[in-house]
Amino acid sequence: MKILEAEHISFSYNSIPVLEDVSFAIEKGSFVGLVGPNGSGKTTLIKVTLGLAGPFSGVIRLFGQKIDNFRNWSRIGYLPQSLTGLNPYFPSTTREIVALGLLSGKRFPKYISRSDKRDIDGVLDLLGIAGLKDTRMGELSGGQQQRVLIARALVQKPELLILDEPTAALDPEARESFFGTLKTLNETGSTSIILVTHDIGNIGQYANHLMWIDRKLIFYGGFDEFCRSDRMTDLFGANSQHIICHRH
Amino acid sequence: MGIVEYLQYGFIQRALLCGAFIAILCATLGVVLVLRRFSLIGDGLAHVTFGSVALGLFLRIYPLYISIPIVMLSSLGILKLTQRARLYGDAAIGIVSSFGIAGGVILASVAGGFNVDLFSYLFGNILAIGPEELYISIGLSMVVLAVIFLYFNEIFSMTFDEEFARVSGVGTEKLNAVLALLTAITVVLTMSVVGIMLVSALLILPAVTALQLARSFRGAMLIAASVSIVSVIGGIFISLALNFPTGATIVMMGIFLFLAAFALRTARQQLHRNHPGIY
Repeated sequence: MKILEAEHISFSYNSIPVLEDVSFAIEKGSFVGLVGPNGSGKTTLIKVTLGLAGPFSGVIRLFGQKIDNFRNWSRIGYLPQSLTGLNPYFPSTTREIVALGLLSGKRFPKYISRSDKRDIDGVLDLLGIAGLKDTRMGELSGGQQQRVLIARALVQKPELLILDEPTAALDPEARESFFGTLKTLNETGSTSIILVTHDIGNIGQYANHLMWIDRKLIFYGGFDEFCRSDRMTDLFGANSQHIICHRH
Repeated sequence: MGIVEYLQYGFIQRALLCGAFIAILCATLGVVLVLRRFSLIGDGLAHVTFGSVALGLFLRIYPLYISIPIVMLSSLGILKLTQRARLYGDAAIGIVSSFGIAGGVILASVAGGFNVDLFSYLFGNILAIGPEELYISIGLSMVVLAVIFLYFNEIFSMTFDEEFARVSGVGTEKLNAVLALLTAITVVLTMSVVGIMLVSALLILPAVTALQLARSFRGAMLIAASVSIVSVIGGIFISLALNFPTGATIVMMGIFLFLAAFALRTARQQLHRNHPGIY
C-alpha cells in the first residue's frame, strides 16, 4: 500500500525553482532517509507534502487521498525542522506540549482525557524524559526540548512519521537511542518513517530506503541499489557512497 | 464611604459586573495575543474604534452599534494584509490604525470639532454604563469566552506552533479569522472600561503579569484573569475613594501588579540561585 505519492511536484519561491518535477511513491513500512545538500529542497518537499507550502504543481496523495481532501491527520506525526522559532518564555509544561500531539485524533471540542495522560506519560518514558513532565519548556536544554517535540509527534502512534532533522540538538548517546527507537517502531510497530537528515554516515544503519534530493529527485530506492549503482558513484564519488553504505 | 455602601448604588454594581466580565475577556485573549506577538493589535484596533465612534456620533447612531462591525472588518483587514501583502503584523496594524485615526479626526472636524462625548470614549467611563450597554457587554463577553473555552486546545496548539497545529488538522486559517473577530469585539467592549487610549493596556498587562509567574498555559490564563479582575475591581474602588479617573486608575493598578509579579519572580530566581537544594 502506498502511503505517500508525489507526482511531478514542482515548487518555486519568488520565481526561484526549489523543486522540479519530483515524483516518487513510498510504500507502507518504509524507513526513508531523505538527504541532500543545504538548500536542495528537502524541507520544502516535506512542507509541500503536508500542505504547509504552496501553491505547487503536481499531485500529492496521502494514504491514497489527494492532499486537498485529506483529513485523517491522526495518521501522521510531524516534527518540524527548527527549535529556533520556539518562544523560550512560553508558559507550558512538557506534558501540555506533548498532549497537543493528540488533538488530531480528537473530535470537537478536543479535550484531553485521563486516559490520554497515560499515553503521554508512556511516550515521555520511551524517550527518557518522564521526569520532566511538569517542567516548563523554557527550562529545558535544547536536546530535551527536541525530545519533547519528538514525543509530541509520536504520542498519537502515527502510521507515518515525518521528522525534519530530529537529531540536530541531541548528543550522540541520545541520538543512538532515538534512532534505535525509530528502528523498533518501524520494524515492530509498522510505522513508516521519512527522516530528513544531514547525517549520511548513520542513516544507512537504520533506514531501508534512501531518497536523495537536489531540487530534482536524484535517487530513490533501497540502500543495496544505491550501493551497487555506478551512477551514484559518478554523481557523489566513491567516498560518499562508501560513507552511506558501509554501515548498512 | 465604605465598600458596602458603594455596592448599594446601581451604577457601581453595573460597573463592577461589566468590568469583571471584560477583565476576564481581556486577560484570556491577551495571553494569546502577547504570546503570538500581536500585543499592539489592541492599540491599532482602538484607533479604528476612535474613527468608528466619531462616525457613530456624526451619524447620531449609538457608537457601539457602529464600532463593532467596523472594528471586526478592520481586524480581518489586518489579518489579510499580513497574509497577502507580505507585511509583518506591526506594519499591517500601523496601516489600519492610521486609517482609523485619520478618519476619526476628519469626521470630528466635519462635525465641528472634538466634543465631550468623543472625549469620554477616549478615556472611558465605566461608571456611566447603562443597563443596555451592560447586557450587550455581558452577552458578547460570554460569547467570546465560550468560543475560547470550546477551542482552548486548538488555540493553545496554534499559539505554540502554528505549523504543527495545521498538520494536526487544526483549521488555522479559520481560527486566525475567529481570533481576529474576537479581538475586535473585545477591544470595542474594553473601550467603555478604560477608554480608547488605554485599551491595549488592559489586554497586555494582565497577560505579561501572568507570564512572570505561570508554569503552564492554563495557569497563565487563570493568573491573567485573576490579575485583571483585581485591577478592574480594585481600580474602580480606588478611583471612587480618591476621585481619580477610573480608566487610568485601573491601568495603574495593572502596572503595580505587573511590577509586583516581576519582583516576585526575580526574588524566586535569586532564592533558587542561592539555595538550589531548598528551593
